[in-house]
Amino acid sequence: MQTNHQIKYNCTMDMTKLKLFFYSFLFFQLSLNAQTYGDSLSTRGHENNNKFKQLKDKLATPNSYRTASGAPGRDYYQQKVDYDMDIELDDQNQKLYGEETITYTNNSPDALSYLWLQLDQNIRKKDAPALEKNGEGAEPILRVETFVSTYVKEPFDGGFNIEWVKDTNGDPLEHTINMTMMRVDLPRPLKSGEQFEFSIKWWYNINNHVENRARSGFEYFPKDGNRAFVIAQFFPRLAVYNDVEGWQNHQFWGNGEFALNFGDYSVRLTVPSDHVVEATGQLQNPKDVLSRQEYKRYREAQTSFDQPVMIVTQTEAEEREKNFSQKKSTWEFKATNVRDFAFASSRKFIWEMMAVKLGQKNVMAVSLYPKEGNPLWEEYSTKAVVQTLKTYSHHTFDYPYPKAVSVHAKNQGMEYPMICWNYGRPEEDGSYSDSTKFGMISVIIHEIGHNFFPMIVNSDERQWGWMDEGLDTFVQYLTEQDFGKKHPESIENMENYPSRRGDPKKIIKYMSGDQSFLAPIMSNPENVYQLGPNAYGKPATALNILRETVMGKKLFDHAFKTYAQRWMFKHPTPADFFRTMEDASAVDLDWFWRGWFYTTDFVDIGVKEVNQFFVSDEPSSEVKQMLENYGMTQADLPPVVFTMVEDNEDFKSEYKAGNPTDHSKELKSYMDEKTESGLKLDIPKNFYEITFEKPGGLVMPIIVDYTYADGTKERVRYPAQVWRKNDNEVKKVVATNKEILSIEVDPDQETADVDPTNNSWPKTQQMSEFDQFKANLKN
Amino acid sequence: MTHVLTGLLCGIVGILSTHNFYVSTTSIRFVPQDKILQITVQVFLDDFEAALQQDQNETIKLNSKLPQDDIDRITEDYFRENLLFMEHNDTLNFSFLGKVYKNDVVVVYMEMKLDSNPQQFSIKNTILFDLLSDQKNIIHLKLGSKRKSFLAVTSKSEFQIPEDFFNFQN
Repeated sequence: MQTNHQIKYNCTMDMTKLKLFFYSFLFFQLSLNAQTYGDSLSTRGHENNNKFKQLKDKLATPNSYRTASGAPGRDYYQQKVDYDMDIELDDQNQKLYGEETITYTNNSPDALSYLWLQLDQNIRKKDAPALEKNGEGAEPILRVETFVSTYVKEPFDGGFNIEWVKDTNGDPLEHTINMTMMRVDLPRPLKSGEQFEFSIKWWYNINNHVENRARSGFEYFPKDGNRAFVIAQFFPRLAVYNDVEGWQNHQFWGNGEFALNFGDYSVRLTVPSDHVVEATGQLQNPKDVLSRQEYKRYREAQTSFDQPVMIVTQTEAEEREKNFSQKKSTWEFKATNVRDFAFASSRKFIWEMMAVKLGQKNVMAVSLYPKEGNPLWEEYSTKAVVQTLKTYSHHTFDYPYPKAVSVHAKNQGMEYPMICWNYGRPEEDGSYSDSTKFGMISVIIHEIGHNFFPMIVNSDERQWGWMDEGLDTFVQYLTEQDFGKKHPESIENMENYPSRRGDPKKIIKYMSGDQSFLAPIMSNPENVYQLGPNAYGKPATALNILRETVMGKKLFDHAFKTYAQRWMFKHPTPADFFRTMEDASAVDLDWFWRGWFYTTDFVDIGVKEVNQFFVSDEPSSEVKQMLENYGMTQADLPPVVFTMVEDNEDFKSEYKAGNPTDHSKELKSYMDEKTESGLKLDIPKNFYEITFEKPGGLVMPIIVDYTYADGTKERVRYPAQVWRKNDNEVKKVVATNKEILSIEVDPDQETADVDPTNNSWPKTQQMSEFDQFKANLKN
Repeated sequence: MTHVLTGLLCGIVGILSTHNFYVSTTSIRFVPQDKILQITVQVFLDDFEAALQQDQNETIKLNSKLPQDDIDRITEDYFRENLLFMEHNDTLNFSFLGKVYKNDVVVVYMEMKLDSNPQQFSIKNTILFDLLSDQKNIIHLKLGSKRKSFLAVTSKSEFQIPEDFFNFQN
């Protein structure tokens, strides 16, 4: 295939330099002739608004903390916060009591005169401002329960009761609570490199997480009178202090999740002695809290690589449900280098685990669920955990923690280091729909996957929801597809695992929606209309497109892994991600980040028109006119080839017959010369000029299938850069011996093109989804 | 499943609960040559199931493995009650074509014939409002390249369509 310009410029080779300049100018003019160029003095100037402009105006200036390559800089630092805690769960009265000692290490170069702590439970205080964050007004129709809880009932009073804050001498520390943040004033500024140790005593009322769809709380089972606790955000936690935000003390309003420090945890959990407990970290005293038989199974599980070992069976769990022990047991957990701590506790839990080999290490894949989760949970939970650890480790780094636990909680999916809560409950008779089954497998993959983003690659969730949700949803998609291949019986007669997000087609509805309900990915999670597609679906799809269509798997996978490994156990920002992906691949992606992440533009590329053109010895009237304008005639030109489209008024039908050399003496003599010198060149017979239009704001590569008369098909990919000088339409030439029968843009639907009706030439009548449904009905 | 979503606590949802939050999409496309409105509604399966259970029959399950006749009838009733197209306050009739399950959403198809340029045409969308006080229903209207969108919430669920939107001359 050759382009128009190559053919033209080849003819100017033996000219003098001056002439060369002149002719190239002339050819430039001729080739511009087709486009409308024109301007008047009244047109205002403009800044550089090219879609390929580098992102320097959007990204923070690189510095010694964060480099221009996207890696941590030589002065990069992060604070370390260690916790030593005694926690007691009062099941009967649904209260949680805690005493914690915090050791704060100031690795920053700055002296700190106060520390900020997060009091997330305060969002459940009865007077919390978060309860009034929405402005949609009165509701004309309300369920009775809603009406009563809104206007009649005394609201639930959650929130921390802070009993005291003391230093190591037992002296009280000044502290001020502002909504979900608490400032502790230090007796004297904490200098760079120094440590400060202090303690807090607190308690709070535990909420029912099913009633208000919270991330932490209990579910009550009226049939047997038990509760299953999934407890998180349950202790005052240090806010992050860093080079980007200073203190990240943006209040907790409910949607923007957490920004947390790495540290070591030593936690003693006191619960009723018939509860089964799982938590972040390694169990230190299994012999004390497990029966002899449970302990034996627990040991056995550590080397069971083929299938899970039941530590507590369903029969045993059902037996436990009946007694409500008044005795207490204390479970001890230790965790190194984690950013948070969470736990689950109940009499109802069935408990199973198996070992997974990752690199040189064994990791325990664990599931914990009440009998209400069966038969779904015993079938799929641990399998989903194992697949997640494998696929994510392959794309990032070997999972560094000793275990990963999937706990069944009704209605919610939520992630913490080494442990997460997942929905997916069968009907009471044990039956379940496909949507429940795949919903459950997908949420387990998603929440276990969060161990990688943001538990280890520790981005700031409060500010950037997409950095963990989007990256996680992207690897979730890859894991789901692997899961379907590894467990074909789970997807029965389907070709692939039915992923809800990740496939470009799935984001079209969102991206083509009304602009007034869309926000760019680079928005705070509190301020977007549709958090699901905004922070999960769109960034996951964008990364999928980057991998499959823009960069290719090899370059993408290496760059993505580089990002994960550079920022493992550190705090990355969006710029660190954007920069690393380019730095490790040598693919300029600023146009991609700018369009997909900083705007609400969508993809729409189509074929506008197709013109066949032919070679001749005679110039068309336009060319003659152009020559006349420069005071020239055809004789002044070097050897040239003229081209003409069929509907040009000077076109003669004979141009269509035979070979191009039959109609151009210059071309023939040039070709003969080459043939004599031993070069074998073949001149294509057909020349097509294809105009591609781009009604959509996003620039993307143009992926085209050309179908020829001989039944063959050719896939051509024009780089996104083809749009850099004209953002509306571009023309490409195809020179071929075969006749083009049809053209299709984005044939595999890999770019999230929102309007397929302009994707083919000749235009084919595309059936809308609606018409397809109607047609199926008739059949 | 019963959601007891307290209106005021609605902001504090798990970030990945069964789905992130409560939105349905109603797409209405006008096909001038046939003078037909094609109406497609996408709603989350679990919420819709809960609404039908509350509204009609506690034992109903939206499961593709079960016979669909009853489910289709109840679904149709639900939509006739909660998606209204009105001209001068008279409710216009639409034909209910059916529904499909797609992963965790249900897609419902309806169509409506319009004989002349409708006057004082309005749409009222209260899908799931009786179940979830923070449900939001997005409505997209499309006629050729003309588009208009509305966001229905419990406090405002009815919208007047501009007179010039359906132009039968086109």
